[in-house]
Amino acid sequence: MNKLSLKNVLPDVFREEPVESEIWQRNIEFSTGNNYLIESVSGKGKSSFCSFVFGYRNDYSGKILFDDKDSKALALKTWDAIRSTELSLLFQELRLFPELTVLENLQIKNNLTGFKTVDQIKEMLQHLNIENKINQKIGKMSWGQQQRVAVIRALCQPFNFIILDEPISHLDDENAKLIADLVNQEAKAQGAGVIVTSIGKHLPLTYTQTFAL
Amino acid sequence: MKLIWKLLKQNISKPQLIGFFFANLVGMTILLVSLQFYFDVSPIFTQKDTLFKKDYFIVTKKVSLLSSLSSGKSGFGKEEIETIKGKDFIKDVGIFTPSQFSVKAGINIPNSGIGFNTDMFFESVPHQFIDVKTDEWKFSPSDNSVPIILPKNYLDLYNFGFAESRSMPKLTEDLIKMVNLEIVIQGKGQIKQMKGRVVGFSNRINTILAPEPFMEWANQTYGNKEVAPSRLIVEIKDVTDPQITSFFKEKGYDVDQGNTAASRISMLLKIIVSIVAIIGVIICLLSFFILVLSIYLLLEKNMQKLINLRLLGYTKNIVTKPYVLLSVIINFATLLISFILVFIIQQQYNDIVERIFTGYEPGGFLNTVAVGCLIFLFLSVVNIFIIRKKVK
Repeated sequence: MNKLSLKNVLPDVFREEPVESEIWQRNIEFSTGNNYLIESVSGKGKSSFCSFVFGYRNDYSGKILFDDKDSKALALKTWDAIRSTELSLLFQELRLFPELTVLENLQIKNNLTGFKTVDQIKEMLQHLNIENKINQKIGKMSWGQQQRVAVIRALCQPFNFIILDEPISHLDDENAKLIADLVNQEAKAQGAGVIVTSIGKHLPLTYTQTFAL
Repeated sequence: MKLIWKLLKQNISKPQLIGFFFANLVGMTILLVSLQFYFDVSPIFTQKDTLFKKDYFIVTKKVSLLSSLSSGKSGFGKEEIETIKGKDFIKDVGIFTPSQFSVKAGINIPNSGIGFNTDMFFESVPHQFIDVKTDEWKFSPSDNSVPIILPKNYLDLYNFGFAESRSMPKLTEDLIKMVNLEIVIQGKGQIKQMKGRVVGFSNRINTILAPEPFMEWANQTYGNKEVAPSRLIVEIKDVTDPQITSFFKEKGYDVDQGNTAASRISMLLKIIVSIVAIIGVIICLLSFFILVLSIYLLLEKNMQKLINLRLLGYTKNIVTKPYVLLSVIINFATLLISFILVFIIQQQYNDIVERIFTGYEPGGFLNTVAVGCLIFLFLSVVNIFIIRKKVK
């Protein structure tokens, strides 16, 4: 997948009220190799955007195209493949498994894709300063620590686009910088596009284009 | 897979699964035992004696003081036979043709001087009414040998009445079949010597049977006078038809109902076995609901995890596999254990049934195993379907 485009997409909930947006009801194209920032205040549909693109919600009109394929028409099996090899998403609500440890949470993704070695995973944990938590249960960690684990998990797969939904909402500037470095490095290596959403602090990357949602 | 299992085994309720396991085990066992019992016992009523399959009555006129004095009235006239044939609960009527010549039978052991002779008689009925199926049951006038079928009662009478009380050896059917009888038939001033051989024992027909072609030929050649048949064998369409009893009563006929008892017993057996099997099915269904409910509950409790796994890119097959395996393994375990229980229970009732019915042989397990496997397959397929439907 080299191109991710939105054609006149509008969430069903906004159908009744007029929308001022650079995303909704526009034709937009994201291409690999570029960084995009989607800025907004709460309630404008950031997470809806992520769930539409990632295919787990369908309550919108218009079309989301992967290259030229309508994403709504894809079979479940195709989605399984896309989610493990083409699209990666850092969920705003993280969706980690609290009963598993940090390493297990990362392995559960990596076992599926076989993309990283255990050493590489440990390096990434080290880079984000949480390597000492490797065997700790996720449920006992702070949200900021969990965010960092979730970012690493999102990197444990090949992707053409990575979407980060408010990746640094609970992190300080220093950690934000570390995450930005890691994501940038990984996206460059894969020639992938990065799409970041934000309600305040931005992930410090060089953005090709910024949208106000 | 290990991690997936670690994640998804959370919230599995052991008491629920154990509850299902035992409920299903009880239901499955009851169902299979009743089937096995049916397969074991039904040959006694159906296959062994082909006449039991259908319902036959033997009809005679009542023997009264008056009729015994004025002989000749005890036979059935042509009209009477036609009337019986015309009734719609009657399928077929066969006539007992008596021998119209004198018969002597004897055994002579060569070179020993031992032998005895007795007066005897033959009767014949159309072959479709005979419950002994053998290739030897044929005769043509050129033959010098007559096949004979004796009532099983005669043998039992000797073995269990006579031989027992005099501590004499019991005779088997095969032993008697080996004996050569000397038969002398006499009539119209002619005498003919023939060989006789017992080819079988009838449970149904209480007479000394010779083949119909033999009887036709012998009656024609040696017969003195035409005798009206005194006994009829009738095939009944439906034993439960109330018209039957009233018809025969009204006509004043005696009816041998020996095998209606058998067919009633077999009907009763079928009803009882069906009731037990239905209870088994109901328990099976209920236990199946318990399993479905507990799997539903389990899926519901773990739904967020399942959704997250699906969003990580795990296929439906992988995320449903633990639950599919769980239900299939439990179903399979109940199947195996209920097979073992069926086997044990069969041993228990075999002893009892053997005491009641002589010649009882337990049937194989194959049918029961096949039915059990079908139920297992059905339950598993439905389980898998439900699980896969629940997980999006």
